Parts: sequence; C-alpha cells; structure tokens
Amino acid sequence: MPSVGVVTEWALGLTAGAVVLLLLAILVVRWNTTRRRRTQRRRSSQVLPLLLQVIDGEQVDRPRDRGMSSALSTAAADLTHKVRGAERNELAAWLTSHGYREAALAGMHSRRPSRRARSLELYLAATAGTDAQPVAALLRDPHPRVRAAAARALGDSGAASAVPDLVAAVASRRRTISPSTVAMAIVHAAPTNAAGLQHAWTSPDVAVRTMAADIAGYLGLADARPQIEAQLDPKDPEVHDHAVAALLRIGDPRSLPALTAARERVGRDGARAHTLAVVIESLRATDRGSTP
Amino acid sequence: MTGTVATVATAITVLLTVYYLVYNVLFGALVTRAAFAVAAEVAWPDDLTHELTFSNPLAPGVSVLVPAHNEQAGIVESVTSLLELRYPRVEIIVVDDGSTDRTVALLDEHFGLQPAEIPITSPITQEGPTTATFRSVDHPELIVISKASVGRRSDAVNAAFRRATQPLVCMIDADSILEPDALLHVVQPLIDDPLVVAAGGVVLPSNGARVERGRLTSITVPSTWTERTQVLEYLRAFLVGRSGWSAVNGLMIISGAFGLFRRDVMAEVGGLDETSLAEDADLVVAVHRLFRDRKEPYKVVFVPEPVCWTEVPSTLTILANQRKRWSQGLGELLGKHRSMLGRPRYGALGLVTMPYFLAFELLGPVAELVGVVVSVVGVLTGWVPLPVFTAYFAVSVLLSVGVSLAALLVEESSFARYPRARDSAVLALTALLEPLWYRYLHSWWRIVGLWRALRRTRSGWGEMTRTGFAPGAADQPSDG
Repeated sequence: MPSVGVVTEWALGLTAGAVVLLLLAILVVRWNTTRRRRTQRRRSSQVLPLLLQVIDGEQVDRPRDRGMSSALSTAAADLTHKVRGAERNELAAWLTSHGYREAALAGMHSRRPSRRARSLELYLAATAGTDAQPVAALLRDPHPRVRAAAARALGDSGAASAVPDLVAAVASRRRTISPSTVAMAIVHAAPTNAAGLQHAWTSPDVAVRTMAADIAGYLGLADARPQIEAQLDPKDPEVHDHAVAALLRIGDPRSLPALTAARERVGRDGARAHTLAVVIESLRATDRGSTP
Repeated sequence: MTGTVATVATAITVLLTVYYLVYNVLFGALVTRAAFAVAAEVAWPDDLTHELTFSNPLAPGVSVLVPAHNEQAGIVESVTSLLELRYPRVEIIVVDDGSTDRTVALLDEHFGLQPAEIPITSPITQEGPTTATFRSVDHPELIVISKASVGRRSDAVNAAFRRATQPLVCMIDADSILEPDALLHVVQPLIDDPLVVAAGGVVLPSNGARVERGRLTSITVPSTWTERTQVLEYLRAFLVGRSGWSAVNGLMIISGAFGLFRRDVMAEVGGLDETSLAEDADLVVAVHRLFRDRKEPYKVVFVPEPVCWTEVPSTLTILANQRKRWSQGLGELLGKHRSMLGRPRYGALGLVTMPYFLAFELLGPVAELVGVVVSVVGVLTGWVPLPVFTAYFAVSVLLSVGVSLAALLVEESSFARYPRARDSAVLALTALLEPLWYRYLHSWWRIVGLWRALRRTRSGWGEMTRTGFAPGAADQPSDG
C-alpha cells in the first residue's frame, strides 16, 4: 500500500497538472474563439452578396470551401424568411440544384437534435415551403425543441395546408407540442378559413380549444363563429373567456343570441358577466352601425 | 499524542478525505454535465426562433415583477432597460417596499406616474398593506405599487404578483439590467415545451460595465478583487452549477434576480414564502414538490445564454452580510423541506441536489473548519509532518483553482461575454488568488449564516451601498 506521502505527492502532481492544462485550454479557446468569430464575420459578409446574386437570377457556383458552404446555408435559411415570390423561388431552385436540399434532408435524420432543427429550416428554404411534408413529419420528433422548430418553420413558410397537421400535433398525447407554439405558427401561416381547425373544437383538452378560439379570433375567421359560440360554456371558464374575446374580435352581430344566452347562464354579477355585457354592447353597436 | 487522540484524529482525517473525494467527484461530474449542456445549447439555431416569437401577437405575455427598497441609485436605468426589452407583451410592476429615499419620486419624474386602480388578480398573502397604486402616463405597461415594508423582499414580490395579469411572471431585482433579448431567450423553453413550468437565466455582476439609456454599452471585469471574485463565483454558480443540475431536472435554485415562472403554478404554491430568506430557492423547491406529489411530469430549466446584469457588493462588509443571509436562508430552506431529503419520489432534487447542498454547501465550511483545526493541531503536535500538511493544503488550493478555471473555460468556449483578452487573464489570476484569501472569509460568513439558521435569527433586506449604473454616479446608501 502506498504511503500517505506518496499519495499526497501524486495528488499534488495531478491537481497542478490539471490547473496548468486548464490555463492552457483557456488560452487556446480564447485564441480560437477570437479567430472563429473573425472568420464568421468575414464569411457572413461574403455569402450575403452571393445570395443576393442568386435571387437576382445570376449564375453563382456553390462555394468549394466547406465553411463558406455552411455559412451560405445558414444565411439562405435566414434570407428565405425575408423574401417572397419570385426571389424566394430563385433561391429555392438554386439551393436544390446545388445539392443543399439533399443535404438538408439528410440533416433532418441526424442524431443531433440541434442539427435536425437547423436542417429543417434549410429544407424549407430549398423548397420555398412548397413541400412541407418532410418538415411536418418532424412534428412527431422525439425532441420537443425539434417539434417546436418544425411547427414554427411550417407557420413561417406560410404553409396553410399544414394547419391540420399542427392541430393534430398539439392534440397528440405522445410527443405533444405546446398550444402556444402551434397557435403562433398557425397565426404566421394565416389560413383564410377555419377548416384546418376542425378537430381542435372537439378536443377534450381545454388548452387546445382555447388555442383554436385564440387563432380564429386573432385571424378573424368568421366561418369558425358557430364552433366558437359552442365553447361558451361556463363549466370551462378559460375556454369561455377566450371564446368571448374571439367573438368580439370577429365582431359579427349574429353572435348576439349566443352571447346573450351565455350572459344569462353566468348571472348578472362578476367580472365575466361584465365582460359579456361589454362585448354584447359592442356587437349591438356594430349591428346598429351596419343597419341602414 | 495519546493513542485515543491519535485514533480520533486519524478517523477525522479519513472521514474528511472521503468527504472531499466525494465532493470533488460530484463536482467534476457536474462540471462535465454542464459543459455538455452548454455546448448543446449553443448549437441550437435560436435567432430565427426569437425573431418569430418577437413578431408573434400570440406570444404569451410576461409580467415583470420588480421589488425595490431604497433603489434610487439604479431604479431609472433598470426600468428603462425593462421598457426597452424586445418582447411583444410586457407588463412591468415595480413595488416600492417602504422606500425612504427618492425611488418613487424618480420614477414619477422619468415615467410620469398617476394614481390608478390596479385590480387584484391572485388572492395570495401580502403582509405589508398597499398604500398607493400608480400607472405611468407615458408607458401604460408600467405599474408602480407603494406598500409598507415588513422587511422582506418576498412580501414585495407577492404584492406585485397579486396584480400580475400575464400568463408568465418574471422576477428581477431593481438593481439589475436585462439584456434586450433576455426575455425572448428565457421564455422560449416555456413556449416550446408544455412541460416546462419555470426557467432561470444567467446573472452576472454589472460592476465595471457602462450603461447608457438602460443598455450595457461595454462589458469589462470590475476593478476590485472583491468584485472580480464574485464574477468567478457567479460563473461557477450559473454556468456550472445550474446548467449541470438543470440537465438532470434537479435545479434547486432559480435566482430571484432573474427567474421566470408560469403564473398559474406560482399562484398554486401560494407565491413566495414571506418568512423565507431564500425565497427564490424556496419557490423552486415548492414547485418541484407540487408536481412530484401529484406525480405529474414537469421540467424546471436553466437557460445559459440570457444575462441579467446585477450590481454586486463592492465592499467586504456588505458582501459579508449578504453571504451570511444567503447561508442562513439555505439552512432554513433545507430545514423546512427536510422531508424531501433522500426521498426517491422527489427525483434528482431529493436524491442528489438537496443532499449535495446540505453536505457540501451548507456544512462544507464546518468540514473545512474541522479540517483546519485537526491539521494545525496535527502539525503542532508533530502527528502530521509539515511537508504532508503543506502538500495537502496545496492540493486543496489547486482543486479550488481548477473548479474556477473550469467555469471560466466553459464561459470562454461558449459565450465569451467578456470581449477583451485582458479580462480573461484577470479572471484567471483571480481564480489563482481566490483560495488564498477569499475562501476563508467566505467559509466564516457561511458558518455564521448556518449558526443564525440554527438559532432562527430573524433577518430582512440587508443594507447595501449602490453606486448605480450611470458612469461616475456618487455612492448612495440603499438596501437589497
């Protein structure tokens, strides 16, 4: 058995070595971080003009340097959210013809969740949001942040066709997505009718029905009015309040009978009754204003 | 040395050696876990995510609760930083907790307050009665509540919470500056994952930084060793400690200087415990307990990127008072929730975090004191050879240095928030010096805090001298 002195000497040598190594590591990392940031700044300033040439329809080759190519894909995924129409299509066509779409598809099956999230953004850029299915499949990804990233990307790409998938994802019991994320995504997608929300209204989950009322109200989806009116049940106070707010936003006087009945159910006193009275008065004023 | 005394001394030495071995193995594991967690976090593509949240009308609103007690030195800069946050829906509730300085007058001068009825939304307890409520004319999202002080920060936070209307609540200190994107970062986990019920961000000392119109315009390491040592302490506590504990869902502390909670959850646990000195940790433990007792899945997370810059004590006297209070608070907290210790039903928190905090954070200084006494007596009686003692001491110093350097390495390899190489060099030097002077003072303060906890001494807001954020501002007395 080694003596106390030997053990202490070993411990001293090990800890001193570790401290020296850590000091060296800090030095190297500091130098490397400074160099990496400088390189990133240089690459960012170089790839943006290239992408602007691409959306102008000019002939641009894919950068041979791996770092430049990676910086370009990141910048392209960012730029696709800032351009529309023909420019967006030009960008997508160039990314597809230069192999970025395949790379993105491969990345969406990566073992690293953060890489899957990055890749789905690039994939949407390479397809101009026209082929949302592989991204919609990531709504069932094992990692909650990838699911959320997929929902956001679908919303931001304006894929209204993805609304049923988003609603199904939020109502799912396994690998669920937060109603907040889905609501924000659908508002970004801005569907022109409430058909995609169909399954949300009958969900046993209060949060899902509340979400549907919020979306329909915010987007002013008048065709959802009957479904929203059906949520005016005082047994579910949260849904009830959001449904009232949604009906106020839609502002259709045809909701007056449902709102009046709801007011009878909640009584004349309290904050809820007061809100209902205000909304009813507002819709009556709208009604009077629209009557010749 | 007699045989019995030698046996006792040997037993104590073996016990202490095992104790330090376990501590260093656990801390090493924590550092490794934290390094991976921070690296994974940095790899996420968050820029677009935050842009989309910022531009979304359905992003969940946040009520920012700001307890303030004699904060005239920094309140205007702090509120200005909150008003300029990049977040779509923010409600700011400042509670003037019986200030005797110009806190409210300054708020009125800069933001135009007028009396307003602010309805109560949560029926949680508030001890000190509300004396007046105001709303800013220029910024309707700014509310100011004046109340009588009962000497507790928690009562001021509860007063703000009672009037919060947004689904999320964020607590910050009145001597703090939030980075413009800080809320976007810390809210995102609650948007992305429905299981997340609370999130905390990084708090770093603002001493030495320049602030203009509520924004940090330059970040530098502070000028005194006392403040520099606290920078290292904060890096160790946040980047290593909290990242590591959060990775195993065993996070016990979300700093009261920057923490976000779901309002319904905070209401369910009754807000902050107004009798606790560690009210921020107490709230987090209560949240863990609520969900574990109900057997419902949940997460309490730490986000290592957003920063709340806060003014830390610049003198040893004030620092001593603060640390004694913290240690007392930890002792009271662990005493209050002792039934969770070592219980598998409370997951990583009950099995690892709380026993770790009890054994190494709360009782660590006691073990250190015993070690010093035994070593000194051993050397004086000739039982411990001087070279062995010297080497043992050197190992303990080097281990402390290594822990600080590991935290600095995690910071440098991820965010590198201090832009100048000189700052990194100064922090590395601080890490080398800290175990030679600060460690013993800190241990003594913690022992005093533990003693006060055992004696159930009553404490409140501590006296604190604020210099404020404005460059060149004169020292002004304040509390915190």
